[in-house]
Amino acid sequence: MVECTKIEISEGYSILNEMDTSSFLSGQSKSAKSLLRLTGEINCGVASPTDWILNNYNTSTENTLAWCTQDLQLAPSSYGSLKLVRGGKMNGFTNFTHTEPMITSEYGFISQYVGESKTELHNYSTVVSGDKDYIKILKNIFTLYSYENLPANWNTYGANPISLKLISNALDIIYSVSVQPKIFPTGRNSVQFEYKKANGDYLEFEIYEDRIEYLKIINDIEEEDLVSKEDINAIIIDFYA
Amino acid sequence: MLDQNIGDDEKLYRRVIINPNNWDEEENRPSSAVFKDSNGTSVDRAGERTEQQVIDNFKNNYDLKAIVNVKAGFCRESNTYPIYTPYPPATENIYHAEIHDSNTEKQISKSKARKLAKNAEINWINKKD
Repeated sequence: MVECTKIEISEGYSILNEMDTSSFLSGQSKSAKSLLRLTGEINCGVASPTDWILNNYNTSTENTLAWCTQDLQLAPSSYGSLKLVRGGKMNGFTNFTHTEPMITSEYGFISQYVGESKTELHNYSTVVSGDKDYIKILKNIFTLYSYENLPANWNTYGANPISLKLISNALDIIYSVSVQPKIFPTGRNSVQFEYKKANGDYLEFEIYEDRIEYLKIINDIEEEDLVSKEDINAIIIDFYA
Repeated sequence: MLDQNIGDDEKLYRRVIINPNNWDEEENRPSSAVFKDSNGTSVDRAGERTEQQVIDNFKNNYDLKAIVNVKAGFCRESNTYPIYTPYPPATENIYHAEIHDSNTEKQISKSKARKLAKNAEINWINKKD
């Protein structure tokens, strides 16, 4: 039997669900990765079920988020549908029964993140105040996972597919940084994280499978070097200080 | 074949695909990631074509977010190295050229890619998305 889970994330607000989410959140056979796949599956377009769209949901924003549609890889007993929208509204979150960490995997942090969201979702005000970064993190996760399906020559200039190892490296950083970047893939086996300030200062991390390089431009003075994963956040904090 | 020498005033055109996104929507500019290729940054010279013909050729053959160009002279000012490289593997592109970091290094540095992206002229943007 297919069970249906419906979750909506509204930028600036939070998550709502209308149905029993326990089917996939407490399932024994679903890995953390499958849960992420679930969130990546979210139907952003017109194909979404309409019965759970919020009354004030602005459909004009729907198509701007086509990037979060991905293949769904869930255990046979579950089915999920999650929607990421802008301009939506929070409706409480009920019956969120997941109490155990998801099965550990290299994506274990994702399950941890979901677990955190569960905790917060019981507290409406906490969710509302802590939402923006949550949405940005999710968007960046979706973006990175969308790279998994890029074919050879995806940029029309002979770029290679982006490896899972590279995606995994980038995900690790997304979870750890205090400010979420803009993310862009490159044609040289790397993923680029960008930060810009209104005054023109610029910070960029180029993440490869085996190293991370950065470029910092402050007052037109450039600095380029290698950086360890552990030191990235310090550079970001310094950049915004 | 085109002239081996790329004049300073020649525009070097680069496609920006629509998916995955390599366009900074807030700035409405290309990310510097657009100019990062493993084997030098591939571009097209116009040759005998008009700019509109170059744009139409790109638009008709690819699903694009934008088309941008940088002048060869600006590339040189930025210490990059534009070079005419027609007929790259598996293509029949007589207009193909590359921007290298130098005459010995193909991959352009981050700061040079940033300069190119920041100063690229936008020829066309796909307004559909």
